[in-house]
Amino acid sequence: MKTSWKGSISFGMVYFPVNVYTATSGSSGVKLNYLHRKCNNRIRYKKVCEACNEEVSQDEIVKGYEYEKDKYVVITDEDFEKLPIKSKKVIAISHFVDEDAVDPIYLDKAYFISPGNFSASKAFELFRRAMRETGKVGIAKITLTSNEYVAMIKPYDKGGMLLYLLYYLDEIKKTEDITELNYNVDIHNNELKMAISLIENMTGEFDIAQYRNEYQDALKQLIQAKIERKEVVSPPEAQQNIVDLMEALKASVEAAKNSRTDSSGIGKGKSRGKSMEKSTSNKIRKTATEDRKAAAGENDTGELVGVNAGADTSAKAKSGKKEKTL
Amino acid sequence: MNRDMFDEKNIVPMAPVPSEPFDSDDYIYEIKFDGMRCIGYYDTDVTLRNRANKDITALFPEFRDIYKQFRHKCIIDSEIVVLNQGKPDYSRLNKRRFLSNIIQINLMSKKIPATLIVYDILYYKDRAVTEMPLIERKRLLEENTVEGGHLAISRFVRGAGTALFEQAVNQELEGIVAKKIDGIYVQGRSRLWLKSKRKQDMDLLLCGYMEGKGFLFCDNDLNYRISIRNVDKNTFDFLYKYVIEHQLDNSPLKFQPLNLKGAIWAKPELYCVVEYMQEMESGYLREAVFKGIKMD
Repeated sequence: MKTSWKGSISFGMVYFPVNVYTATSGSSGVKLNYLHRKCNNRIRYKKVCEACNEEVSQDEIVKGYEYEKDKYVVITDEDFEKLPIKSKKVIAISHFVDEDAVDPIYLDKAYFISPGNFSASKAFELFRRAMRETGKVGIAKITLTSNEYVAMIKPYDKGGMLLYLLYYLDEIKKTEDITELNYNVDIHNNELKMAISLIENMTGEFDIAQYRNEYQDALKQLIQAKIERKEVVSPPEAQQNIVDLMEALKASVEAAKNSRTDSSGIGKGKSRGKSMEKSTSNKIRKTATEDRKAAAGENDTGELVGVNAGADTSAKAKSGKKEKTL
Repeated sequence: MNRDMFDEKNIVPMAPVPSEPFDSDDYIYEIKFDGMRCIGYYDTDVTLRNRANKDITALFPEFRDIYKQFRHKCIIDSEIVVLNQGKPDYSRLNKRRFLSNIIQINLMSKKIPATLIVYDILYYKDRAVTEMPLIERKRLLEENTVEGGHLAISRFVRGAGTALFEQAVNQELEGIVAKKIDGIYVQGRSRLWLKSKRKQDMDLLLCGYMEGKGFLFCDNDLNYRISIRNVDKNTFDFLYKYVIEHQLDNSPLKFQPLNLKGAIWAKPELYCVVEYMQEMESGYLREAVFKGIKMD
């Protein structure tokens, strides 16, 4: 797997290199393009300057912040580099907390972490096992591309460790803004018991493998069907062809060989010789002499080594298919 | 239970050493097919790995049920080919090997289905059989394999190497491989297997592109060797992008051929494998075909 980046984990006196990999692949949905309805050609997005009305290339583009309507301050690459970010490429763990102390709502993107090199494996595994024994997870600061994040680090059951980027508090919306949540209801004990027993009846194991994106499956089938109606799907070229070719080559080689080593060995098994002749291709006929062909059918016991048991069936199939083969 | 080679799945396929064709009863000879090397792990499902041990199972949905054609759990050495009029066609295979979109993979597996040509067995039932003499492995392979559908067993002859090579040349096949009849299966390069190819390979550097001529290649000494126009679309896009990204203002060549005026030149750093029929005295390569980027 391709690393997203390489860096180090640090906490207290401990410091070791790690590799970070993206753990999730995002949407597996079918990618569709926008087309012009009347001609089916692609709709393209162009970056055009509003004022100049010209298309601009990537190196002509800078970033700016709109501090007032139509007024911007430009932020250059140099400006970004001057920003005081200490945690660059270092996952600096500030403290550890109980795993369930982190509400899942804060979990953003997941990454795998592995030891950065062979000698870091021990520190890595030590740290991983200690977290597992204590049931704690590490809270750290980390920089990815051009932003600073809070992260949670925990051992992963299937090997290595997981790093979750966390949302900052101001990125989580407030439920106070949902007015319907300001309700006032009375609940009877019996009703609660009934609801609980309903839940208990429906309790099972969590198995993500049971779930498939059925909408996407149906969409893929639809697309496949549409293509197949449009594209001529040719009948598969039978593997038999290649078997015929190999058999024919083998036969002609063996024939040639036998005609050299055993010039008198002609006469028995004429009918088999004939069928082999029939099955031998035109091209091979050009190169093999009549003698070779005559010998082809007779010597398939002595020198032919280990042809599979299917030779007979392929010989049968050959006579019908010959023209196509070569 | 201990993990064995079936579980580890890190086999390096046995590779032949180049040789002139020859005749010897100590060898069996089979056709060398122009395709993708494949080590297959078959039990109640299929795992296919290429020469570099990359998992290619998903690229060939037509082989999904092929494990049913092996009587017992096994590891099989083989070549994946795509046929065109009964013969392996490398450029057709190229249309399959770079796909990643499941819909395209399924469609192409029906349009130009692949065939698996099996020729060696490395593991049978519950143990490695790589120490077995070749001729016994061949027998085991045949017993364990049911030919048909997308699966073919490679045929071989004993002793008659030059005659088989001659036939391979006539049929415009890639060549032949001679295999020591009592040889064990060695991972990696081994003199127990000797290949004779109709065409030769040469490592050349991509050094430019010219409209009408195609991609330009030179050798290590910066002598111009060949232009190649006929490549598939993926290859074209990749090579063209490479030329543009490594563009030079002036030709890097030692001597400037007159017919290459107006070419886009590129820094000659990308090694490619070019296959050719014959090297002429002038250094020109007859019937040159682009085979791929050199990976090692």
